[in-house]
Amino acid sequence: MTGVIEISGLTRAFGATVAVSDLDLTFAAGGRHAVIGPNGAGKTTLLNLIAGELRPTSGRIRYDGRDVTRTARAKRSRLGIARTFQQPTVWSSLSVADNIALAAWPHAGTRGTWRRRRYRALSESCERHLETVGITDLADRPAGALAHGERRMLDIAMALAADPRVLLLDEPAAGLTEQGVARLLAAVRALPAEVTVVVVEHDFAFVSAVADTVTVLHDGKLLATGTPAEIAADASVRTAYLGDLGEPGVVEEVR
Amino acid sequence: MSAPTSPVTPSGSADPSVETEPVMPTVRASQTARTILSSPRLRVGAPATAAAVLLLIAPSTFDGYGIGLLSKALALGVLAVSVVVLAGFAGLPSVGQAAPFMVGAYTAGIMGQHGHGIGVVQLVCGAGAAAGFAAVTGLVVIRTRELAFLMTTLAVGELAVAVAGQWHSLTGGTDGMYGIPPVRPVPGTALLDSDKSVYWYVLAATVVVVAVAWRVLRSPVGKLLLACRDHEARMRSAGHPVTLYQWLAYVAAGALAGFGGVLMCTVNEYVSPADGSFANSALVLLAVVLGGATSPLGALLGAGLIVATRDWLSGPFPGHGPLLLGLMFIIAVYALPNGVAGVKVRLPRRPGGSA
Repeated sequence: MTGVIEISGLTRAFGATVAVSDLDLTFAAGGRHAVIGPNGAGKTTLLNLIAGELRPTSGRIRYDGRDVTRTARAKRSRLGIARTFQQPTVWSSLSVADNIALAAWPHAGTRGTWRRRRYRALSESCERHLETVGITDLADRPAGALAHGERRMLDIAMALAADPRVLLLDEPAAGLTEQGVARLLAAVRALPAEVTVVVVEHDFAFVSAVADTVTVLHDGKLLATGTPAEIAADASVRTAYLGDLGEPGVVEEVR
Repeated sequence: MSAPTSPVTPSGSADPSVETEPVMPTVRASQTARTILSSPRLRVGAPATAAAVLLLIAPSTFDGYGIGLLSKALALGVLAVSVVVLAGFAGLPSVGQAAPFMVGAYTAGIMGQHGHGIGVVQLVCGAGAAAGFAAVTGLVVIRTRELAFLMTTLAVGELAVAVAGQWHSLTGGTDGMYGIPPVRPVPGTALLDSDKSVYWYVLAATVVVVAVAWRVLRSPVGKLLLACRDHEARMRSAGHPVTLYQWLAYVAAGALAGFGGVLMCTVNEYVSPADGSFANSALVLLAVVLGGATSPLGALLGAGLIVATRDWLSGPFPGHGPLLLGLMFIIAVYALPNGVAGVKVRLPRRPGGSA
């Protein structure tokens, strides 16, 4: 099986706490993957390890056949791994349009972006990402003045602007309105088939709508992998993690 | 400022179905007024014009001492602009920026004493030497952040001052280097042997270099630096080589500071380790706070205010220059938290008007 991201023996400890423990995982190229699990299961740590925000205590991460375990995050980003953040992070003193253009800058493949004309051209070519997430009207607003949901949409648009091969989404639906979630779903579905998506999310309805494979983590270890239907039906996952699914589509937190 | 309160009849028909959110004409008018008053063109243009007029009429109104002070303020202003690049844009508040300033000043002094008295050549060499100094020290400094950054920049500055004080053969030691001959701006022009001619030369050089810095900071390069300041980690995640940007900003700021140092040497005809002292670094940081952290023009004004307070206003109160500076700083922090450039013209808002 060819995986765009292959993780072997990955461990990350914070002092005595082991967030990710001897994890072996493969994310197939072009797949729509979801990672679920209760708080503290190591989901965000896993994303941080893949994106390069954190270095593993041990283990290896291979991206597209090359070992990126020690590669700096800026370099990984330029290799095609983009991410969004649980707390959406933007450059608050710059306009929304500038945020997108700066996010696209290292990936545009053109030289001399520091020149005004090239930069303007880049910025114009990024307008479609604003459209995708529905914040075209806010283009000239300083990013620091955005509401939480708008900021999350901008964060997502910035990741899209990087034209990624692997897109890591950390709880993208949290704090979004229904309309925002619908937009987000449409944006993920509109991604080219070869783009691999890894989404960490609590909302099981969102996960079922977006993912073809669901990975369940518990205490930093792999508990189960399968289609959303299989995971929802899995007795051990159900009892241990999903709790009562009677509440429509919401994964109840254990702990 | 008073907002026009009389209702203005809209010229077109106010069809509510056309405008989903009908705006009261008075609100619109006051908004227009507010937009004009807060437009960057006016907000930058008005103080810039006032400063330009003052700078142009100064030589014919001030005595030699006043003109000399103005020249010093300009040289210090260039140093302050370098702090704007670092602290305001790149988010790296250096407290050792007087070190490259001193390197530039010594470069000019040494060149002058060895018969290389062409101003433009001194400026290029001084800026180059300071850039080289920043390029080397930057390798260490850029790896630190926040408190550690303050400490390393302070340490680098103090080390540079110590070296300048010890290296007698090159710098003349703690006595400094005096009797530096006046320069010619470019080959074939007259020697700058009067306060006035030095002033015009320093003014021209300052205008050129600040205009260049202004243009670069307003380009996409400035946005890169601001983004690094806003959220460095996000820049890295987006794939930007942040450390390289910061190092380049540090080197460019070093070159600017060196340029200012050369001008200071030309004005004083004297260089000493005191030029690189922490006091100088702190003064320009104060100038930047006064001027508004991201405004080169504000930094120039701030430097002018500081020199005026310390050396000119303190005339009637001899020996109390630092006290006056301290008072001014306290007033500035309370009254103008965003600096001179952050002063906004406020129009009274109508209740219920959109923000």
